Amino acid sequence: MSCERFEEQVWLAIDDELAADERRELDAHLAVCAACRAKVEAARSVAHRLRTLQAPAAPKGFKETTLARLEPATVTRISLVRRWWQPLAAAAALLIVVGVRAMRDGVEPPPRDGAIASSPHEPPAAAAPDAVVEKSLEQLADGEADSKLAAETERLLREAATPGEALALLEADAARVESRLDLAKDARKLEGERFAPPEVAFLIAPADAVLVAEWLRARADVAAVGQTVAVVDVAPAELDELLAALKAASKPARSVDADEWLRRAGDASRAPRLAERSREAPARSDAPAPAEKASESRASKAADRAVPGEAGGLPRRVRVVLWFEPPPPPPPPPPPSKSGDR
Amino acid sequence: MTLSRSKAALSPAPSETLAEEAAVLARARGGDREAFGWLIERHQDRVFRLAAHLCKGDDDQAEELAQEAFLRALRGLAGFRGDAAFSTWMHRIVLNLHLNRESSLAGRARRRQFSLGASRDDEGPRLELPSPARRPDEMASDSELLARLRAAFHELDETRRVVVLLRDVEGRSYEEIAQLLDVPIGTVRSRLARAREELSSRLGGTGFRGGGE
Repeated sequence: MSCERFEEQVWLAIDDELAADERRELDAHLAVCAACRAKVEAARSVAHRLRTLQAPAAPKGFKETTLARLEPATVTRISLVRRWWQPLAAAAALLIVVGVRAMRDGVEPPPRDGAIASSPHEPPAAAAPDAVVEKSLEQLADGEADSKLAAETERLLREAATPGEALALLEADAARVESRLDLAKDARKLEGERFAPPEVAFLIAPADAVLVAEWLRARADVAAVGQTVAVVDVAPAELDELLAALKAASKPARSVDADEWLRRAGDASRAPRLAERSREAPARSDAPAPAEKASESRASKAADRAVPGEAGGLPRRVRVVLWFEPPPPPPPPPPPSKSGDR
Repeated sequence: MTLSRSKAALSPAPSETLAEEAAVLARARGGDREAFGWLIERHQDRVFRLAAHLCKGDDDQAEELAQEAFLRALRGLAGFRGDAAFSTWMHRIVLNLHLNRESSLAGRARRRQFSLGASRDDEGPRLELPSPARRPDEMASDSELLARLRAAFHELDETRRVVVLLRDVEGRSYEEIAQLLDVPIGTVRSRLARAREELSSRLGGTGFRGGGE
């Protein structure tokens, strides 16, 4: 009997999907045809191997990023959220501080993708930052000056020689602070003292974090990325859009005393004014924080270099600091299925 | 029905029944965000794995495809009649999105076009199969075997790759595949037979010696 007649059946024989009469005819043919038996064996072999081809499960934060995309877009949407942004996009809470100032000596190179997930960052280089942090924490505990803590944190940032160092300093700092969102408790101080124009802070609802993260991923240079903090720089020309996006996305995400603060931050007339001021007055005009007075630090020197005259007074980059609470750890993986395709 | 706000209640569990899913779907049709999250969490891994296979292991493309499929599904829940499982509907959306995208990307000139809804005369010309560089029994290791299989699988024409994926990788029945692709079961049979023959030829004519069950 001709093999052509069984051309299709031999490849389907392994599936038990042949009709009974088809199966009987094929079996009779296989009994006398070594070539077709080899085909069946080959099909079975290939099918067996194909079952072992694995594909990964959905990445962490998939649900959150998908849900966020269901919302009407308030910022420029990009097609993909790069891997290292996913922890940020899935943050349980997100506090964004926009500090408008000229950056020193250009922008540091961004880390490679994936740095956030695996960055074993260097320890702080000296004990001095710890002392500063401890002092800030004492002040915070005394309820004296949330703004001072913020100022010290920013000073540490500016002092850092490399992204890795900035990261280490911030992580060490953050580990000692019960909740970064406590920074928002005194809105008046935050806004009136330290975050005086042209600086402002936004508390972003988790659902909107991904949109902000997408915007920043598309437009910002990464200065430092850690488990709970990301520091990025954006061009002044794009500040308007950033502020508008932040304003649109800002809403109370916590029961902190942030309503008033957020109302102010979200004031419709405020964002354009901030952007305008950033162009006119890149150097901070407010009085330096006490720690800055006391320290002949690289930061103050850098600030000196950064002031006026540079590109007609325009800051070269706008530094954006994002503190976020990581999402809860995923549940332990289920036992592998029998198919091998986990 | 009211979804519990507790984390545990929102975590998909094997014991969740289709009836419970139907109740969640009803909530989702009303725009309930929590119900959306429940559906995503329950189906995301299978959907992503399918997308990853379709995108030949490109995780970024797979994520975009899987997300787009969920967005289409959740925004179009009103059109989900419930006469198939939600997972089947999701699979169909993923497949259609992918095949439409492939079709528009590749263009008619570069790639032979196959319509998912076409009859069985759509099989197109046979490929001139390249001779394998080495015979299967000369291949050094299991990982090399798998790498060659993966490469051969990825080189299959899109419609053939999809049917092999659904049958041999995902283990779906011919009837399920026919429903998913909206083609007659005879088309599934012929595509699968040709795809397996092509795979076997690419792998040296007789599949993997010693690699069978």
